[in-house]
Amino acid sequence: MSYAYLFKYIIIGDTGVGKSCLLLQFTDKRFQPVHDLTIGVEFGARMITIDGKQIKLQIWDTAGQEAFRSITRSYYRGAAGALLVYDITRRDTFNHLTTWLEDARQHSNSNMVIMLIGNKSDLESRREVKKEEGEAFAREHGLIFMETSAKTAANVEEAFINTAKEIYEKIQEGVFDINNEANGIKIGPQHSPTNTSLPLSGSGSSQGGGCC
Amino acid sequence: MSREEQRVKSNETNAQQFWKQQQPDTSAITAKFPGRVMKQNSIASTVAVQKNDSRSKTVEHRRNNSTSFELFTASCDDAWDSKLDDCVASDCVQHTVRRSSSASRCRTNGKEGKAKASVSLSSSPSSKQCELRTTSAKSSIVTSADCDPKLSKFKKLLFEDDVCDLNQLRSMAWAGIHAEVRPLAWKLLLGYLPVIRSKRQQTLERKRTEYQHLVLQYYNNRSTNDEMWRQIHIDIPRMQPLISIFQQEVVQKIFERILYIWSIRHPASGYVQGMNDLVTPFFVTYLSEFIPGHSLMDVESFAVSSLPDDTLRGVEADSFWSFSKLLDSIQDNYTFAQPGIQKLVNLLARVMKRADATLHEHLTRHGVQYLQFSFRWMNNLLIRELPLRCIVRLWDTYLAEGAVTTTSLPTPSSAPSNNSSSVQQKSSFISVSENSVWNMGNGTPFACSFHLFVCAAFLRFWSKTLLREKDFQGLMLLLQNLPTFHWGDTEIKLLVADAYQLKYTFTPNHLLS
Repeated sequence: MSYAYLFKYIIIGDTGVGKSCLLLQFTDKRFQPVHDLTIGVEFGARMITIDGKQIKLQIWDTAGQEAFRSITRSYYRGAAGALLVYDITRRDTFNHLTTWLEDARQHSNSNMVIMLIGNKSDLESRREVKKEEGEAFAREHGLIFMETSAKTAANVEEAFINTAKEIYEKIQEGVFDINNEANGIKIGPQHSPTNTSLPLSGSGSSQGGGCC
Repeated sequence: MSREEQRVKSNETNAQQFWKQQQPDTSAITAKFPGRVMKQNSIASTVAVQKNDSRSKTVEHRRNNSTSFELFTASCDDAWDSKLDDCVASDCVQHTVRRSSSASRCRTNGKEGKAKASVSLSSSPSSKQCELRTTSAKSSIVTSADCDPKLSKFKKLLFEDDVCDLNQLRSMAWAGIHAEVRPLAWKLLLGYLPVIRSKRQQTLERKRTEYQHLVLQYYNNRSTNDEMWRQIHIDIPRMQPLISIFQQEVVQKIFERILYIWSIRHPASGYVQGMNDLVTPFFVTYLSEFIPGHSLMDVESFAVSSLPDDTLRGVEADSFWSFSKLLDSIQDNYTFAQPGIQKLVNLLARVMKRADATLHEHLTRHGVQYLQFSFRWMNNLLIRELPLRCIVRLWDTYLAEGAVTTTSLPTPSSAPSNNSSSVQQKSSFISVSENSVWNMGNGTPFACSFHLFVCAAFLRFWSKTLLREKDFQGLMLLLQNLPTFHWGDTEIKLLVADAYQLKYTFTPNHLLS
């Protein structure tokens, strides 16, 4: 299927915060109450539409355990977006955000868009982290923020799509070098320029780039 | 396309046909060993393997026109049926050559146990690929017609012989162990129990008591906010959600204790996710001893709490020690940065480059890296990729491949010399690799190198299916959800035979160049 852009994402965060469930909800629109442990990385993909353009999302869901960090780190490179997930019912997963953020910033390209996600918002009665705390952390570190529930699907679409919108805007602003695949962005086959690289002129890619 | 759709699609295509191409390099193989393609008039030197998805169909057609699949299975038939007679047969061959009197001393192989095997030859051509062997008393156990002769041999080895001949046990176990005798066979192959029959009960009791002490010392004394304990405690309920036995609280407690005690005593690696999966084959196998029929399918839904506490404690302790034996042999898979796994993944790529260049090139061209899909194959020893019953069967072969032969095996004076000649023959085969990186896990309960070749065989099993995927996404989605849910012994037999062939075809010299 043709697409205007391909964005690569990575999902990170402590083990058991619901990373795989978020991905499953987003790609398959279903919730699996018990999800087996993610070993290393798992891959998922889905097409979305932004500004009338088809955007393909390729998502690496990573294992949260420290032991796998040396493997999962290599996936930061080449990601345009990251979902940094914590569990609103477990304070420690929120406390570890700084470490995750440092790790992400250190190993990713500087333009990577990071969305902070407080997951399990359906478990209000067990909440340990206030929404305001998440918002404050996001503000302080320049992240986008949302609370989601992989179980009820609340805000799951939005989390992935808003991240894509942010990346898309950065492309429009010319922040991303879209010709460097290491940034986690690829122009779709029908849209890529045939010869030289396009100047970063807004929605240049939408014109079809002159090829088939 | 969603993951689910992708899965459905791949299942459909898969159901249509499982094709497998195999081009055995017969020239590289000069001596007799299981899995080897035999030279036979009716078998072309290059055998195209056609794997029929429907097992019943295979059986149905067996007596009709031969397919290349049948030819293949027939050709490597000795991998699972006559291996038990390897020692005897090879000795006979050697004797024969020495004495130049083959006909008078050897008779043709009667092909014991062939009738039951789904991969058997159906008629007289078997005599063409017959083996020579002596009329050794050892190989002529009298059994009733309705009794499985191989099972009888297992029983004799395990329950009657004063000293279990571990080499013979390995030879037989390679082709699969009967559920009924598997628990004890595994314990011997692992080196957990001694080969001397009279000492086994005593050892078992000692090890079980020892384990109870470990529970008291480590588990019962753990600190309430122990990080490792907390992690294991969170992880265990998430384990294998589709198998009901693992959702039972009593089972989860057993796993928590086993994993916690092992991890606390191995700080170099500690607990790494996936280790929990490695306990499962031991646990279900040892549990099956107490379940009527010993069926693994029944074990998966068995109400464990119905068993007496004492029985469960025994199963737990045995699982712990067996798991320890396994992990001791592969601990660098779980130490910092998981060097063992990184090495295996790199070797897998090298093997595949030679074993299936088309597929390797296809994966590379679409940007698929081996680490992306095979990390889990190594970290969890394929447990996530295959049904548990298949893993148990696969581990019969793993244990046979790597079982300790040097420890707990007093050289039995009664052991016939033919066993050692077989071993010598084998070791001359692998001598090239003896001192290389290749030799990982040899002499340990699990030969990692064999797992590597099983992974390679597994990957190329899907070659045709994967070649139909035309982009990175399709490939990745398929690779992490390979449709093996219907797999059984037949597929595992093919897998290990192919792995065996790979192991002996691809020496380090080929690969390191």
